[in-house]
Amino acid sequence: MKLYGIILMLFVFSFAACQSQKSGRGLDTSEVAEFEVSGLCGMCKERIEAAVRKGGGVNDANWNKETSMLKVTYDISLLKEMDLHKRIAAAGHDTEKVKAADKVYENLPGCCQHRDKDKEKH
Amino acid sequence: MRLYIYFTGLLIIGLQLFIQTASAQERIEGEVSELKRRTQEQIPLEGATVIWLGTTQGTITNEDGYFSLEKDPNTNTLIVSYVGFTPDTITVGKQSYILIALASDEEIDGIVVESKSDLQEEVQQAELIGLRGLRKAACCNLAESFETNASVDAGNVDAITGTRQIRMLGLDGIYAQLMTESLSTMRGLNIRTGLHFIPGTWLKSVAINKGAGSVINGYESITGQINTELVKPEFGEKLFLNLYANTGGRFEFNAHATRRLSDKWSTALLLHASDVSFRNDMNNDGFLSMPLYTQVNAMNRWRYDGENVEAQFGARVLYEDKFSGSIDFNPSDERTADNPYGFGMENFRAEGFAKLGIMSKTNPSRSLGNLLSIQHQEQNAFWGLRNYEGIENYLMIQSIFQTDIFNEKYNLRASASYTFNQVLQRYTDAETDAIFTQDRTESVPAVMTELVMNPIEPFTAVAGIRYDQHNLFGGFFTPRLHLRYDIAEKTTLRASGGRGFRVANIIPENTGYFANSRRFMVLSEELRPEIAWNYGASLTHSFTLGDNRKGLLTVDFYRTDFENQIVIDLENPHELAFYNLDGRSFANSFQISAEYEVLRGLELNTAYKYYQIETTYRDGQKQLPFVPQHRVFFNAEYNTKNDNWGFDLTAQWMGRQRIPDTSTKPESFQLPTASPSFMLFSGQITRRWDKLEVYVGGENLLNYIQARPILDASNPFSEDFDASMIWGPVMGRVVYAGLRFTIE
Repeated sequence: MKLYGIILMLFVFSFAACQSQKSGRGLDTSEVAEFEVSGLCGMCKERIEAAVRKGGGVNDANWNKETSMLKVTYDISLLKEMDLHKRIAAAGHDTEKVKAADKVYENLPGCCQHRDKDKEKH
Repeated sequence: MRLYIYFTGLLIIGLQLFIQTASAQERIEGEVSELKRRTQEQIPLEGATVIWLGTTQGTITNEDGYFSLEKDPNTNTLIVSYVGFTPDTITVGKQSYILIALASDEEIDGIVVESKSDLQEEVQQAELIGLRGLRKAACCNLAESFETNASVDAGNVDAITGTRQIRMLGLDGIYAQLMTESLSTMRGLNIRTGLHFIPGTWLKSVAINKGAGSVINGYESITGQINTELVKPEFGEKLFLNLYANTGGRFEFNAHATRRLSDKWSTALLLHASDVSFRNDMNNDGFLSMPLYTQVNAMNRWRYDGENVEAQFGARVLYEDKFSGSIDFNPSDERTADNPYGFGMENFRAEGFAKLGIMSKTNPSRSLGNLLSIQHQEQNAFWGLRNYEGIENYLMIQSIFQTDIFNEKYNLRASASYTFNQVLQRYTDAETDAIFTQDRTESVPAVMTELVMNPIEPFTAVAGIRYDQHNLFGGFFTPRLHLRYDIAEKTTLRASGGRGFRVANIIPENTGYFANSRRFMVLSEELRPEIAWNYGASLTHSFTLGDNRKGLLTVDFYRTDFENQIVIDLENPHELAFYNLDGRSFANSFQISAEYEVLRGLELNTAYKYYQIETTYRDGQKQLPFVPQHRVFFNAEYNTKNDNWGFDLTAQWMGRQRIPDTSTKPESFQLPTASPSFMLFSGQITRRWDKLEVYVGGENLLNYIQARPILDASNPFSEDFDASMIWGPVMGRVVYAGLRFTIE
C-alpha cells in the first residue's frame, strides 16, 4: 500500500511539475539554448549571429569566439531548438547537431572555413 | 525501502531515455536542397536519391527535401543525386542531421550561362536534357540525342551522306545556334557534321532555348540556342567506359577519365572511336543504307579553381573518314562514270578553348569572364564526279563583365568581342567543268549589353542589344527582348523577339542535296547574309496531382520572318539552285505538349506540333519540302522503384510532307506530290547496377522504310539519278546493345 502511495505521489508530482513549468512561465515563452557552432574569426561571429536571427523569433544571440558556444534567447512558441541549428547550418556553419551543406560551406569566407582547421587540430 | 523504490523508478526512466537516444543515434536525417548560384538561395528538392556509398540502402527525399535513413555500420559516406544535377558525396560527421545542397549541371559554367536547373524560373522558354534523359536513347552522338525530346525534331537522315538534320520551330537546325559550353562550335563548315562529332557519353546535359537567344553569344541564333555541357574535370567520374554495337555493324567506344590533381587543379581526358564496316543494303537498291566510317575523337581539358579565379582550357582533335554510295563502291578506285558511284567525306578538326573567370571578392554578383575559342577544320567531300574542298579558320575572343546595378533586381552584362573567320571553299564538277569558289574572310569587332530586370516579383525582362562592325557587310544592330510574367503561382507567360543574322555556306549546309544529277546553280550574283526576325510566346502551367506526381502543360507559338534567306530550290528536278530570297519567307510553329507522371515512376510526355513554313521560289510561294505540317510525339519512361530497371518508349507520327515536283521526269521516275504519313517507334531497356549499366534497344522498331529513296539507282551517272528526295527512314530496324561502366 505504501508502495502504491509513493508511485501515485511520483505521478502527481511529476505532472504538477510539468504544469507549474508551463503556468510559471505565463506569457513569457522565451527560452535560452546554448550549443557549439564551429567558426574561427570575428567575421564568423557576425555571420552566425545574423544567421540565427534571420527569420525572426530570436531575441538575443551571442557567439563566443573563444569557446565556439552560441547562446540564443528564442521564442519557444515559434521555434524549436533544432530550427536554430538548421538556420545556422543553412548559412554554412556546422553546429553540434546539424552539418552544413558542403557547397554552402565552400562559399564561406576563408577564415570561417573551420573544417580543415578541425582536422589539423586532431 | 522508500528510497529503493524511488531509485528503481529513476533507473527505469533513465534506461528508457538511454534506449531512445541510442535508437535515435542509429538514424541519419537531413534535407536536400538546390543551391541557386546567383541568389545563394536553397530550395528543397523533392525526389532526390540518398544512398549509402557501395550499398543499395537508400531513400528518396519528400516534398520538403527531408530524408531519414538508418545508419550503415560499414560506411559513413552518402551519395546524393538528382536528375540534371551533379551528384555529391557527403561524409557524415558527428552530427546526425545533415544539410545537403546540389548544384545543377550548368552552374559550373556560371560565367556565361546561368543555372538552367529550375526552368520555370528562366526568362526564356527553356528545356534541359540531363544525364538520365540523354541515356534514355543510347545512340550515339548529339545529333541523335533529340529523339526522346519534343522541342527539337530529329529530321530526315540523308540516304547517301548519313547526315542527320535537326529542326527547331520547323526550320533547319542551321538557324539555331549550336554551342559547346557557351562557345559556338557547331558552325561554319562544322554546322552539320558538328552534331555527329560530339559523342553522346561526353555529354553532361543539353539545354534547349526556344526563340531568340541571348545577344551575348552572337548574332547567329534565329530559332533558338542549343548548349551542350561536356564531362567536367572537377565533377566527372574517375573512369567511365562505354561500349556499343548495333545490328547495322556500328561499333562505338567511349572512355573518359577525370583526376583532381590538387585542391585547385583538375583535368579530364575524353576519348571516342567508332566504326561502321558492314555493307548494308536494306532495300536492295544497290546502294548502302548507311555510310561506312571511322571516327577518332579526343579531348583534354583542365580546370583551375582559385580563391576568386576560375580558369579552364582544353583542346580537341578529331578525324573522320566516311564513304557510301553504291554497294560495290571502292574508295581507292579511280572516280569515273564507268566505276560504281560513290560519296565520300573526310573531316579533320582541331579546336582549343580557354576561359578565365574572375569573381569579385566583395560583391558576389560581380564577375569578369574572358573567353577564347580557336577552331580549324578541313573538309573534303565528293559525290560521284563532284568534288568539294573546304578549309576554315576561326578565332573568337570575348570579355563579359557582369554586375548588379542599383540592387539585386537589376543585373547588367556588358561585353566586347572580336571574331575572325576565314573560309576557303572550292567546288568542281568534272562532268560539266563547273567551278564554284567561295572564299571569305570575316573580321568582326562587336560590343553588346544585356540587362536583366526584375522590378516586381512576378515580372522579369531581359533586354539585349549588340552592334557588330562586319568588314564585309557593314555595321548592324541585333536587338533581342525576353519577357516573363507569372500570371499565377504555377502559370507563367513568356514572350520573346529578336533579330538574327547568319552567313550561309551553301555546300556544307546541303551536302545531302548534291547526291544527284541536278545542275548546281547559284543564281544570285552575290549571296547575301540571311537575316530573320523571330518572335513568339509561350504559356506553361505546372500542376501536381495525386500523391505529389508532377505535370507540366506547355503551349507555344513562334513565327520567323526572313528579310533575306538563301533559298534552296529543288523545284525543277534537274536543278539545284541557290539564290537570295525575293518575296516572302516565313515559318509559323505551334506546339502543345504535356508531361505527367501518371503513376509513381511512369512519366509520359506527349506533344503535337503544327508547322506552316513557306518560301518564295522562282515559281511562287510554296510550302517547304520534306517537312511534315503535323507531327505527334509521344514518350513514356518507366523506372522501377529501386531504380534498377528503366524502360523507355518513343513514338512519332509524321504527317504528309511535300515532295518537290518531278513531273518533267520520265514517268517511271516520277514521285507523288506528297509523302504518306508514317509512324516510327524506338525503345530501350536499361538495367542499372552500382558501377555497371547494360542497355538493349531498338530504333525504327516497325521497320518502316521509305519506298524508293533513290531515283534511277541503277544508273547513278544518268540525268535522272537523284538520291536527295528523302522524306523517311532509309535504314530499317536496328537493334543495339551496350554497357556503361563507371568508377566514381
